[in-house]
Amino acid sequence: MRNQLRELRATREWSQNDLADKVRVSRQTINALETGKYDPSLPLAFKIARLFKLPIEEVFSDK
Amino acid sequence: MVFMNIATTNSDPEQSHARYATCNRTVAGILWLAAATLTYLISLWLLKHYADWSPGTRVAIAMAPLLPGILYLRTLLKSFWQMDELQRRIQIEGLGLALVGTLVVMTSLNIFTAEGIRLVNYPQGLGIGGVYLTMFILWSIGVSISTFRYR
Repeated sequence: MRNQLRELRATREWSQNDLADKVRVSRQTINALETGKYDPSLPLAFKIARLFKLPIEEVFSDK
Repeated sequence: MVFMNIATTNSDPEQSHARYATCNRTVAGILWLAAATLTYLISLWLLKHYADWSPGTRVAIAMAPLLPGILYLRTLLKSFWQMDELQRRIQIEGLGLALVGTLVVMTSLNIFTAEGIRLVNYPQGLGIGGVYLTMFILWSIGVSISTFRYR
């Protein structure tokens, strides 16, 4: 699964720590998501999409 | 098993509280584990040196380490429930390796012993201490491998 996390985070000038604090996960989890080493659970994916005010498929895609 | 992450620039009071609680659980876990180990050693010593005590007293002494052990387990479970999904997965992978690895090691040792090849120089095998140690070592390896994979 691919995602736009790094790009979305960069446009808001958030660090990985900032994003991790906002969605209440560890920085390691954000890093693993951004590098594609870990796919989030559905609740976490929704939480992240809601934070960026975007539909989930604009943040995560299976391409 | 518990991650201590106190150093932070974040000023969110809820996050700070969560980190404070994590730190508290770490300290509580270490203390309960130390208490369980100490109580276990004391109970072993008492059972060895006071064999003439009544069976009821001996049972009570033998079961004494259970209380701090259960409290340690409770702290451990609380920490597990507080982890995020990736940390939980890392722990589960570590525990999986520890369980299966210990099973393989113990089965192999038993097979070797049955064939007359003694790899461990203990007449009763590794014993419960050996099982705990094997599990702990394999859990550490498993958690390290998983942490490295998701880094």
